[in-house]
Amino acid sequence: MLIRIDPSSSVPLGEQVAASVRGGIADGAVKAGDRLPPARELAESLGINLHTVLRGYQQLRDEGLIELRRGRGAVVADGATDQRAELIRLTRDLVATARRLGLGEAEVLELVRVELSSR
Amino acid sequence: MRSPKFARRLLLTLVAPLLALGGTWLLWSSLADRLPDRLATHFGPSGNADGFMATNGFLLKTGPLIGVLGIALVVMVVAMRRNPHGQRFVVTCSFALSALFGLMHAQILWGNADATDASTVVLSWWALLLVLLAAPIAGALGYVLAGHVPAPPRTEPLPEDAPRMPLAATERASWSQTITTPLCLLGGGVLFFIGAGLGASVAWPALIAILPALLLFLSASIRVTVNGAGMTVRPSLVSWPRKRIALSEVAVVHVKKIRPFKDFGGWGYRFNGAASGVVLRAGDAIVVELTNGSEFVVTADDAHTAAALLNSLAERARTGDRPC
Repeated sequence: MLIRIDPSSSVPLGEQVAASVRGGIADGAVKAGDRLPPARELAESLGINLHTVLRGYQQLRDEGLIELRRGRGAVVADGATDQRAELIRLTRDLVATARRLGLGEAEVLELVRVELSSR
Repeated sequence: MRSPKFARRLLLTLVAPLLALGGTWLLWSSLADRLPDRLATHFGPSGNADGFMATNGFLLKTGPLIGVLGIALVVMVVAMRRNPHGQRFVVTCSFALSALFGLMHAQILWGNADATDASTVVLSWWALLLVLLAAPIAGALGYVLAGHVPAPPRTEPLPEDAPRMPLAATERASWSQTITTPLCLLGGGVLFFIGAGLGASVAWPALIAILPALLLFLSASIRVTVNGAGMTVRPSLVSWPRKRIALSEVAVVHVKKIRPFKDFGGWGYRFNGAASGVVLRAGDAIVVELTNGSEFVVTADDAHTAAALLNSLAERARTGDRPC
């Protein structure tokens, strides 16, 4: 599994770690059941803090892309398909755009709710 | 100019025969009262003695043998004072040969101890096996003690057609993968049970089966990492033994299809003259051509990504674009 980060970017490093894994799932290089590198090893390998990597992994877990289990480490979840990774990317775009426009949480959720009930 | 670590390697070359000599002398003098007048010094295929030597003359005959060997090795290592690989080879030979002769003499002395008549002395098969096993182990120890010989850093650019991965100047990347082979697990398991069975009947010689079983278990699952430090290969369960290739040692990396049996004569940690590496299955392998002219091979899925990344990292390290 390839993880890339750029310390000169303004995106937080933990999010860059998550984005790498997400990208791998989106382009099919990473599949359900694949094991992510152990957080400690990856942190050492990239020369970043362990907690930064864990933050990235927790974000992926919250998105339902990976499962974190004690003793087994981080494993790509069964439902983690390329389409789901794409959906998460779109969601992040939606949130980013809404923030740029100054929309609050309620307004964004309302937008999604309207869209959901229109079908 | 002498190469670095020459003094250490000269000392090591000298120390091993001295230890063998000293050990033989110590054992001979401590067993002096228990040895018969003549020693059985040569044994037939059945382990029965068929060659003899006067006990008093034992040191006079064996000492010069090790002495001449030691002098020859020291002359060799001095002649190779500008050749670190040669020095390392001589140290390896010195350790292996010293262990071989030293232990052979020790076995002869032990075997003869308390015998009333040398013609009744029998050399057991495991005594011979111990000597034959100890020699390569001692050689390996010498090889390790002689110290790593760094490859000269390569400054010429990578070939145009080498696979690459676009990498920003400040970007860091880490590619890693675990490769597991059920074959090694199976082989290790079989050997382990043979060893356990032997252990029940003949005790410690069972280690002869159990040690390779452990080696097989260790190489059954390996972890390959490519990052800003180069490439690392190690067992997935433990962090040792590990093989590290620094970016400065990488000449160029490519991907090749490997047939374990045809190319390397089997599975596991292999050598085939030109190349060494960890071969766990047929198919794509990362092939790293090193600046010292040799090759290191690791079978891995997604080998193309690893090869491209390693090339780009090596190129960046060479042109001095260091990540901040």
